Amino acid sequence: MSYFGREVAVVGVGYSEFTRHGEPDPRWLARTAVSAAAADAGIPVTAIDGMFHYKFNDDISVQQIQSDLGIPDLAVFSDTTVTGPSGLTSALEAIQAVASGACDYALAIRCITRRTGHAGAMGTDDAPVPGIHQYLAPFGWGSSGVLPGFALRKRRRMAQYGTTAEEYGLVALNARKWAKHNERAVLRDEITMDDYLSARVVADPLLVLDCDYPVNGAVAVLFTSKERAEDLRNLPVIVDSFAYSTGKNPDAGWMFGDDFLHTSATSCASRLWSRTSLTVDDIDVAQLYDGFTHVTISWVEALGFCGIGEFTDWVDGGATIGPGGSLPMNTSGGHLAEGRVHGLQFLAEAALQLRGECGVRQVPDAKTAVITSAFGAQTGAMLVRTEDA
Amino acid sequence: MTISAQIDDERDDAMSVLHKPVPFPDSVSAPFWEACAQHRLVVQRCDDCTRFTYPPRLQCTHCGSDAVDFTEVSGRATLHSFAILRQAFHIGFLTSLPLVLATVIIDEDPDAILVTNVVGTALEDLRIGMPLEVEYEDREGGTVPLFRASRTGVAA
Repeated sequence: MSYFGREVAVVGVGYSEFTRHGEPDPRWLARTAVSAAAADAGIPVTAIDGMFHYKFNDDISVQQIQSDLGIPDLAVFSDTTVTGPSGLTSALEAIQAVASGACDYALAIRCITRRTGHAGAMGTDDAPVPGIHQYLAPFGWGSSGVLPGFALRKRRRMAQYGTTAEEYGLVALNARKWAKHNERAVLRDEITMDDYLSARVVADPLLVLDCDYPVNGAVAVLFTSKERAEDLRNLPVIVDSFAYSTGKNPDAGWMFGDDFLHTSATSCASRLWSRTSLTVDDIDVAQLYDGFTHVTISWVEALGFCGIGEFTDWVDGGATIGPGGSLPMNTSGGHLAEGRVHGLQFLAEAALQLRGECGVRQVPDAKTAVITSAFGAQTGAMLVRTEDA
Repeated sequence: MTISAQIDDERDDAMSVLHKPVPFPDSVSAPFWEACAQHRLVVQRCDDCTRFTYPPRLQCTHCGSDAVDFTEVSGRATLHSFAILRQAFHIGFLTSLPLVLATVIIDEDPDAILVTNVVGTALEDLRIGMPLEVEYEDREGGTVPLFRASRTGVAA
């Protein structure tokens, strides 16, 4: 991070409860997560002077969160653009705010509910369709198109690389294996490959178990300068490097870019590795976005843990990414099992792993982690490490 | 009238007026949609690098040249991928299920991918790589290009 200004560290993480049912007031979710993050860091909430929320239209605003917590003033803040790399956008902007000196304690938050976060509903608007969607909506794409889009990618990948649906299933099974040991997780029962393959078809060949599990919840991550972090109570989790990428034609519903299967994950990964002295061989734990199983597989390959199209061989029936594997992956259960709180939870889990606080699911001696977020034209990635890594 | 019968009636009324979405042409896309209305498929071709650009853009997506002109293409394409939708993501397709949502590559340029529907083809006959040809669906308010299995069967 020296190329960017001050070195930055994660010093606190906080969560609300994650729930599938009910309609909790997001003000309580956000307040709970932010208070917990500040308490974890050992600073008063009022010391927070930067705040960033990756906010969907109907989500709670930074103004609301600040007001509900009685934070007297913010030096820098943003309800970040929804075209950024999902919830990690909050963290990436918070890091830049601390690195630049714009603030000292920057909070990244993602607070989402099932009502504000849903994207798969059936559209009913029959007005002529403008913009890029005029090339999508007339064919049944729907308002977001995310489900048909991932169905298309799944079938194309299987045809292009001669792989099978079981490859996708191994990602779904892995999430439950880890979530079993995560009290926050909403889906904690293990599933079998038969369970996966017989799951409800959403958009053939996409299965419901390929998709994340929407919940209500909030995650907060607190950053400060590495120098300040050394005086706080937790082991500083240092931001080693980060990258964004869009790829070409980012306006196009993730469909008309350069790389149909891997999208901008490839360019994002290249940019990340160009900014660090770490290599894939140095990474102890991976927290890779799993809004869809296809996304996780793509990130593994884009980051270079294996070659493009080689995930099946590399993952070794799931052993590589499971407990005791050479690259423990998505150790919280991720969006597929912990519940979809939209990206930031992968960074929170990475920080707890590097601090050694994950209990039964702790990866022994974890000192480095890679975190990725989102897909398509909205990719983001980060490397974090301990001081002695 | 029972509540459920009333809901059924309201749904039938709604479905009789809600139809498949049509495009809203703009300053860049108008020639594409006007050609569709004449049952011709035109794609922007760059006079400088000869590559094709889809969807329509202000400039060549490959080299950035302004010299892009809509050029009639053969209408032949290859099936790149497809999803079989048994639930509708827009209410206008409720009576068109199962719907084959597809990506197809036009014969003229391997990087020119269209999102479309494959119609008139048995689901069990769909194969990635199969040759397709364009046909048109005239809707109230616009004509859209769809694809079906090539009648000549000539591989793309």
